[in-house]
Parts: sequence; structure tokens; C-alpha cells
Amino acid sequence: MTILNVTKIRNPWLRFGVLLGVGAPIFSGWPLTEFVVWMEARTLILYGQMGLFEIDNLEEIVMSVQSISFISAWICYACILYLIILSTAGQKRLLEYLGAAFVLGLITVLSGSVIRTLIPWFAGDRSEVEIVFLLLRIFVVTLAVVPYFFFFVNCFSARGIVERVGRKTGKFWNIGLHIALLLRMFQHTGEVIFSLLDIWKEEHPEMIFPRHRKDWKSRWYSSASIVPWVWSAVLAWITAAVVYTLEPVPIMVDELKRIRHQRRSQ
Amino acid sequence: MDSEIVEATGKLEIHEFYSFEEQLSYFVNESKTSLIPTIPGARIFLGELGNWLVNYNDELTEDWVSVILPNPSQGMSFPTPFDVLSTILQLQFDSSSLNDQVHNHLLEFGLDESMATRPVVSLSGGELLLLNYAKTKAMLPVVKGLFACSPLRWLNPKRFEMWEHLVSAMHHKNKFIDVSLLLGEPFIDYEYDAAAIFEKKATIPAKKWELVLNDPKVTFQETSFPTYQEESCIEFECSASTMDLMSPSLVIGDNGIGKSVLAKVLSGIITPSEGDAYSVSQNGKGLARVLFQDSIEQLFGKTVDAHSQWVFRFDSWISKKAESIYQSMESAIRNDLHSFHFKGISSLGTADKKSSLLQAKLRLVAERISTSPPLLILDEPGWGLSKIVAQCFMHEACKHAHEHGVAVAIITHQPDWWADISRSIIRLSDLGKGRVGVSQGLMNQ
Repeated sequence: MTILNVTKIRNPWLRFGVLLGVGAPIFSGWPLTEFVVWMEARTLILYGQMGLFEIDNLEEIVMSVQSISFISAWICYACILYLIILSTAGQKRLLEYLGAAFVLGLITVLSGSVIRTLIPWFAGDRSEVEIVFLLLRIFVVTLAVVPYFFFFVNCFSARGIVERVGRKTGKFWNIGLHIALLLRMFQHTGEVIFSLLDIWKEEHPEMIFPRHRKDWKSRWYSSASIVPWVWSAVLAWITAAVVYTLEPVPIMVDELKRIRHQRRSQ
Repeated sequence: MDSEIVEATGKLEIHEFYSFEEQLSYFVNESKTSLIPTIPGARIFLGELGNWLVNYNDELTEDWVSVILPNPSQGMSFPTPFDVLSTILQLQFDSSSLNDQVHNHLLEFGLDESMATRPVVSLSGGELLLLNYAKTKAMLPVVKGLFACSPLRWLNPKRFEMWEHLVSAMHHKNKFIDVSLLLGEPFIDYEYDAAAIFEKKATIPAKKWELVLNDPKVTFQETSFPTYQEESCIEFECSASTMDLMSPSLVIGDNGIGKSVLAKVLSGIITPSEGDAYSVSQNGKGLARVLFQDSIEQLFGKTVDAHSQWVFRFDSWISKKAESIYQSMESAIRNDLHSFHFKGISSLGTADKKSSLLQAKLRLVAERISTSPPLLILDEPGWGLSKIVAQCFMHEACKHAHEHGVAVAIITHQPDWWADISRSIIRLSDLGKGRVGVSQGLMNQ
């Protein structure tokens, strides 16, 4: 397990390279796309050999095989990511990242499903099965990408970058400070989300339902109220996360600018 | 700007303000700090942020000054105390001695070494304040002076000397200190003789409530990423499992002892790993509601009114109840302040556009009282309020809470502010090895 511990790599550039390599399927699709194509081909050949093809449902079978191959490949890839996160960050952090990913994935899929049902235009000419597979794909990809993102930004120290670029001159300073600021902002997003979670839990102890909802019981269309509630909750979370993540940015910028100035004058 | 220099000794200036908004405005203008308030809501905040970005100037026109912001966590640009201090100290020391320097600065202000790698977000209000002191001390050789904003004394009295230690270090290096206080806040040798508001108002009848502590134990698991933090726990111990108390009750104890953790346990935000804790009052047994230290974040990025509309969107009955509590509290406070000839009454915000900190607090308190919990916990309710306003606010909050069967507990480092209304005390004391003793007492004891 220690071999998978990314923080053991002391050189930050090497660590950055390794993490980029691990995240290659997210950034470029390689080699997952090739693997999916290979799996599709193998499965279709197998289908052909077993005589399961029928002209009527050929398109549906191809689409299902494509989606199942895609989902299976991403599940395997997500497991590799989880293993790396587990051995580096530990079980607690992995579960926290997974929790955030699960909630985000679920919200995306549920709101996507509701929107496509209410406004069929969004679904285009896709069949029901196609939509189900599309939403499943989004869910699985979210479960892999979100923990990777949190893990990636926490593998580096903004202070370390400031310290390193302090030894450089000219444009390296500017680039380095911008990277440090961006990294710190993303790290701060994670901190903000966990503190907002406490506030949310105090306000809505059931987490997924509002604390005050007596009107839901008195009206015949009460069950439909869940839709505007979920929508308003998602918007509230996005707004709060954006506001409280960006709130300290001007102060951070000011401090980094001062440090740069001080370094230059030394 | 309705500010007044109340004391100027050498290079130390103290300014007093009637409201948080005036104080913030002065602080931002003088210290040239890019602090954008979030109370007016997301739209205005993002507009202001856009303005800041458009007008951003990379050149420095002013000297570097150290700042202690109204929310002590906001000045911390890095995730751990070690990162915060070492980023500054690396300007003066080489990397080989950085570790020792960081630890020395922490120890100088009563923070132990183990705190160096703790996430800043997990520190208590008092610990954050002490970290701000340590950061200011670390910045001494490179800054011209310090702009400090209250709450500068969000500390246990035995730690007040930390601020005095910082002030004397600043004086020794011939640096200026500009302190912005809210009317009535104490400061070193200077104590504002605020009117005893409570004496002028009718006494609030005490209300019985019970705090039930079945040895709750809160465990914070070990983490190794991004920084290592060993497992720690807080075990609340009480001689009797049920404490009979009289509301309003004060919760007092040293910085970082676990007052806010106890509040989170009682409100169900934290589930204890062992035992349980709850409160029982006229409204029965159940989870407490909390007004956090940083109550602005409880608006969830919304305006005061928008937050209220959002919370009560699916409950028109309780919405009316909360609105009536809010209106009653606000008009009573305005009347009181008017009768006390309080000069800064206009700075408390207008009825049509609610965007002051007091209005935000009133809204959040009214919402919590309207849900009829057994207990309402107010964590440092005086934050951002001048003493007179804070006392009027707490008087109305306690009065309305009691009328709706809700007991009130006030977590505070300024027990003298609430001495006239409080009827009992919950004391938290360190018993060692993560054990925290919880005992009760009467105000006069």
C-alpha cells in the first residue's frame, strides 16, 4: 500500500507528473477510451458468436454494450483512484470525498432526470433507455472525478509553492503566486463545504428535507414541492460555496502581493 | 463616519463605533484591506468583488500593515498555523530554523506545538485570535504597524496578557497600533462606562431547564492528509447526569476547551461516539438550536430577508410567527435605544432594506425561537455589537425565547456583559487527558 502513497514523492514536480498521469483518463480519455472500444468489440463478437443479434434491436444492443463497457471501465478506474486515495489520505478522507461526490452525483442525476421529464426538449430524440444510461454514465464519472479533484488539490502546499518561487526571480514569481493562489482557493472550497455542512445540519436536521414544511401536508400537490425544494437547495449550496470561497480571496491576494514585494526588496 | 478617538497614547489610537458596519467601513478605508462584506447578499458581494478585480492594481502605494480582522479566521490565508506563520517567517529566517521559529511564536501566545498542523478551520474563536497575535508578532520586522478590529478580547481573562504582550512588542519596535472597537468594549487600561441597560429594563423571569449529560464523548479521528493530526477526544464529565438550571444560563470556560463542541452535540450537529447529551425545558426534550459565533455564514450567502423567505418557503404559519417575533424584537430594541438617547440608532439598519449585522442576528434568532426548541444556544452573541445594542438584543432574545418556552444558554468570554440577566452558570474546566468537567453554579456564587 505504501507504494501507492503519493505524498511520499518529495519532489513536487514529480508528484505533479504522477498525479497528472493517474488523472490522464479524466483529462484526455486515454487509455480508457481505447479500453472501452476494445471491450465493446470483444462483447459484440461474443454476442455474435452466441447468436444473440436480431436486426430489430441491433441499435439498442450496440448502445447498451457501449454504455455498459463505458460504465464498467470507469468503475474499474474509480477503484484504482480510490486505492491511491486510501493509501495516501486514509479511510476517513476517502469517505469524506466519496460522500461529497455521491451527493453531487445524485443531485446532478436527479435534477437531470426531472428536467428531461418536465421539458422533453432537453432529452432530444433519445430513447428512455439511452437517457438512463447517459445519467448512469454521468453518475459514475462524478464518483471518480470529484474525489480525484479534492485529492489532487490537497496533495500540494500553497505555502510550499510560495516558498519555492521565493527563490526565483522575474516572471516565475508571478506564475508561481498565481498557481499558489488558485491552489489555495480550491483547497479553501473544501474547507468551506465542510463548515457549510454544519450550518446546513443545524438548519435542516434531516438534511434532505427542509425543517419547516407544514404546507406540504395541507396541499394535494404537496409531493411535487420536493422539486422546487431540491432546486432551491442546490442553488443555495452553489451560492454559499461560491460566496464563502471567494470571500477571503482579495485578502489572500493582498498578502501574497506584499510577500512578493518584500522578497524583491530584500 | 461617526468615529471618535477615545484614547491616543504614543502610537496607539483607539477608535470607537456605534455599529459593526461603521467599524468595518473605517477599518477597510484606513487599513486598505480588501474586505468585502457578505451580509448584503451574493449579488452585491459578487458585484463588489468584480469591482475589486477591475480596479486591481499590482503596484503598492501603501506600506505593509498587519491586520486583525473582525472575523479572526479571515486573515488566515493558509490552511494550518504552521503555513500561516512560516510564510511570513521565511522572509526573515532560513528554512533550517523555520520550524523552531514557528513553534516559538505559537508558544509565546499560549498555543502548543501540536496546534501547528491543525487545520485553521478547526480552531476555536479564541485560538484563532491568539494565532492572529502570533502572526502579527511574526510580521513585526516587515510592517509599519497594526490595524486591529474587535473582538480583541475574545479570550479567557487569564489570556488577556497575550494582547498586552503584543502591544508592548509593537511599542518596543516603534510601530503604530490602530484599534477599532465597538462602543463599550473593554481595552487594557481603558474601560468604557457603559450604561447598565438591564437595570433600566424589566427583569426577565427565570425559566427552568435541564441539561442531561450521559458522559458524552466526542472523538476526532486521526488524519494523515493533508497534514497529520493525531486522534483526540473530548469527554464531558458531570457529577450528576442531570443539571437543573435556570435560563438564561452562561456557558464559560477557557479557549478551546470545548464550549462550541458541546453546543454542536446538543444541537445534533456532532453525534457523540459514546454517551449522549440533550436539553429538556417547557418545550420538552429535543435538539437545541444554535446561533454560531460567525452568524453571518448562517445566512448561507443570502440577504437577511431572502434567507428568511427561503427557510419558511414551505411553512406559511411558522413564517408569520417568526416575522411577528422579529418585528416585536426589532421595534423593542429601537424603542429602548431611542429612550437611552443612543446616538448610533440610524446605523442599525433600515426596515425596508435589512442589511445590518443586528438585523441578521435578529432574523436568525426569531427563526430559531419560532421552531420552539427546548434550548437556544447563542455563541458569543455580542460579536459585532456595541455593549448597549448587545444588551438590548439579548434582553429581547431571552424575553421572547422564554415567552415561547425556549431556554437560553449564552457561550461567552464576557460574562460581565450578561451578569444582570443570567440566572445560572455552566462551567467547563479542563480535567486533563481530554476530560472536560461540566459543573453548574449560580450567578452570585
